[in-house]
Amino acid sequence: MAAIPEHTHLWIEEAQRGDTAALERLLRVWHPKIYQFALKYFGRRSDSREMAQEVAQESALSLCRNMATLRDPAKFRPWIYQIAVNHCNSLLRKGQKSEASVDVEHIQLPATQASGDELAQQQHWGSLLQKAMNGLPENQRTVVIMKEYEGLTFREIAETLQISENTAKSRLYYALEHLRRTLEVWNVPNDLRI
Amino acid sequence: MNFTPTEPDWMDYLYGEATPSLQARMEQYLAAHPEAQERLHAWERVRSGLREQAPETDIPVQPLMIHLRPSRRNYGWAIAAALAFLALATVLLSGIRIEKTDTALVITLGQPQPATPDEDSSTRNDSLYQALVALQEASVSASQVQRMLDSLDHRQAQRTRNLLKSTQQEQNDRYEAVFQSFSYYLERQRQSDLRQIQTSFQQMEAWTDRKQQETAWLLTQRMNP
Repeated sequence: MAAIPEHTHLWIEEAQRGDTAALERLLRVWHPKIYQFALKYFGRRSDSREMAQEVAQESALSLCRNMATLRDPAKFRPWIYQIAVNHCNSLLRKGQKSEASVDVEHIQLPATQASGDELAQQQHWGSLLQKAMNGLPENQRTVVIMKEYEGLTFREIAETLQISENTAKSRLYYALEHLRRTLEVWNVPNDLRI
Repeated sequence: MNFTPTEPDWMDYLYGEATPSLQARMEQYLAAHPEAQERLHAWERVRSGLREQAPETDIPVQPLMIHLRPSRRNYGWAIAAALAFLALATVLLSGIRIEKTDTALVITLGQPQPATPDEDSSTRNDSLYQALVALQEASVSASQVQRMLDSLDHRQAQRTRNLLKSTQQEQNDRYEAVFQSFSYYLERQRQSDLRQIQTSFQQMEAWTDRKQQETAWLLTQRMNP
């Protein structure tokens, strides 16, 4: 398992003993991290920033309230991500805020430029990849975010989402397959698939 | 070779989390199956694309609205001192006169009146007396303040009594929760105010644009009658 930095470990222990300065240091590091995670979780929703902000705030409060319940500081990462995922899901449920997911099969692709700026094309296909990402089922997309952007190990993902490691791996496998096939359907040239 | 990778095997290999034996078997398998190699490369391209085209990231626009208390101690004494001050201020500002005789404590409201035996008995209040004596002697304890509160509003006194009965940790938790809720409320209020201001600005801009257009039209009319 990817170990948390030693100073973070120390902060957690000190915070659990009631050291508010340590808790503050922990929050200063993790509040932006959770915000970034939530921002990716909510994808390209028009209100993703506001929602991510709310999740970061609520997660920070939960961290303060429940710090004492974390038995093993080494499991801090899955613990805090679990809190964040719960808040993300709860926010979606609370407001019934799920926007229509992107149907990758029906995205209108602009005609490929015969000649053109390669960089612009790469950016174009990159943005399509993000659209394809937003079209993934929620449970697969969450695993991709945790693995690719947050760098969690499979064990941490499993602990965060309370699933088995093999389930986490399977979800990621199907997500990557989905993305690969989507790019094929869209005829993204291999050399432009970055 | 009969080995066929499972989905978890593929992911372990792709993300470098395979055991040495799985690593060796995967490499043998890939060497014998070019189509599997191609699939692996396609996943690697997808991964690379995801990382390079990571969603726009930014920092939280709002600061973290949690203000941790500077110290976990002294809240009980702070309350006791505040209540003592309040009681003292009430005594000083409301014109209450307190006189202690050998048999009773006489409290007089407003202008001093000659005391009668009946008045003495009607104004006797042992608990208040004890609390006030404690105040005068500057040795206030939580229980004495609590007794004094018996003469105040019942619900408020009950709340304070419960607070004094709770442990230091419970008191701290309660204050923290109150502070957090309040800071959260303030932040929401701030957001709401900001939205209103933004709307006002937009309206003002729209109004300015309209006026500019009108002015331009009028000028054009005058220059080209």
